[in-house]
Amino acid sequence: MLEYDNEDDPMLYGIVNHLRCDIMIPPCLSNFFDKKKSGVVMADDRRRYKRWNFRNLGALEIRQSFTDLERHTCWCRIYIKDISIGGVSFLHSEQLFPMEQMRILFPKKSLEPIFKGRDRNIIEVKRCRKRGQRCYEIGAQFVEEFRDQSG
Amino acid sequence: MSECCTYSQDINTGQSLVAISVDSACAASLQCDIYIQREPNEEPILYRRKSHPLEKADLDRLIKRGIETIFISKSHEATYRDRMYEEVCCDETIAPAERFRVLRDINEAFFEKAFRGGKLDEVVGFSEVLGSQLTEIISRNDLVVEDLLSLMEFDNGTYTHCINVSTYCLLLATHLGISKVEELESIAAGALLHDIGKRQVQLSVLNKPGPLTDEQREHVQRHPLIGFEELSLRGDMNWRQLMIVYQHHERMDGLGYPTGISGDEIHPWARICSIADVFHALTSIRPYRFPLSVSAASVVIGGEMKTAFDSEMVKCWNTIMKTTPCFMA
Ligand SMILES: [Fe+2]
Ligand SMILES: [Fe+2]
Repeated sequence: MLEYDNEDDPMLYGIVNHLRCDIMIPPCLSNFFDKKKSGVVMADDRRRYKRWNFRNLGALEIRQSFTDLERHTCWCRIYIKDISIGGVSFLHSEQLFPMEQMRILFPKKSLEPIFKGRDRNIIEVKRCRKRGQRCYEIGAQFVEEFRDQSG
Repeated sequence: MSECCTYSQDINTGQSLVAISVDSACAASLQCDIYIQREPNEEPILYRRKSHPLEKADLDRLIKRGIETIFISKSHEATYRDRMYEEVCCDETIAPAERFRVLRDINEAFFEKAFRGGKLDEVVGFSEVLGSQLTEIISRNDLVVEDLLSLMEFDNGTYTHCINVSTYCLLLATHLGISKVEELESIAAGALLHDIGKRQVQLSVLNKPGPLTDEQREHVQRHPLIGFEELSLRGDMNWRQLMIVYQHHERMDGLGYPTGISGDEIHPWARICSIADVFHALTSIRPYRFPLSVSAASVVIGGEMKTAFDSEMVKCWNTIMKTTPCFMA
């Protein structure tokens, strides 16, 4: 079992721990929840916002975004990798496609200095890379609201 | 209407001539020496000097005489294409389908290059059949035409590539047993736009003669994703077509991009497109290398790159290469 820090939001952990999780962590990511990794600023000049390593558990609500791509609405457990004021990256057991929009939950207490009270609950997938069997690394952007599906 | 992939020679000066259709000459208001063939198998002779430009009435007269093709010197080909682009492709008063038809005429010359080593008359036959199928498909879809026009405005090489890849996709799909017209049309239209995301890549990077830096490669490799995003928002492409755009650089062994998925995770239509895409890339002139012959390209696809592709599709592609006359050296 991977280790993680559950002091940030014990109630959320309680819920998240009961969610379905099919992620298989490949050997190259076995120290994913290494405490030394959390909180370190990641250097990348091309990014608009400073990115922080934030190894933690989260919950993702799968929703249908494309008419032709069937998705059954459900919540599942994800592993958060890093975060910035503009977006988040995480591990998930399934391939997600760009433009898919979903709801995300993760412990925010320790992120308060970054988010400063802003809502960060809806994401739009920007990229997806397969890291191993049943392990996809998703990069997503926070958006204010869900796109209108009607048109 | 005649096609314009035939090269000939001025018997007096020895300069290379290129055939273009009378229709497109009309549209491009040509300002160069014009040659015609009095009989189908005769060498073209000078018909009109540049100092006496062709009028619409002259062209009508030629059409009445049953002449559908005229010739211009090879050195004027680029100017002709530019004029066609300026006068026809940018003219929004002309229906998109008509603009595309003219565009396709310009493009015909590239078929000859694509089928180096093939027999010219068979190449023409081949391009006529698939080309006219493709033209019809495209003409029925104004949005695809608009995209193609904008792709041509952006980079003629990318435009030509997309037309060719789409033709190869049709060929492979048909041989794989896909026979429903709607499906074939859908594949062709998806393949036409497979590289639409390249419009967001700088031309200097896209046509760079040397190797790309890591950052440039990363940038180029975003084109499937950009294309997918753009087209999925528009809503006129179905999911299978979007998968052509998004997954055509994925490889069966998982070493492709953007996602790095493998095997069945890659949509079959994207697998078709990946073979067509690589085949055209290998057999066409690229800024960084000379084109391979059809047989050398087949060796690469079935040999050093074989883990990239669906093996059944490669088998089918090799059969096409060996049995379709225009591909046989
Ligand atoms: Fe591509
Ligand atoms: Fe391509």
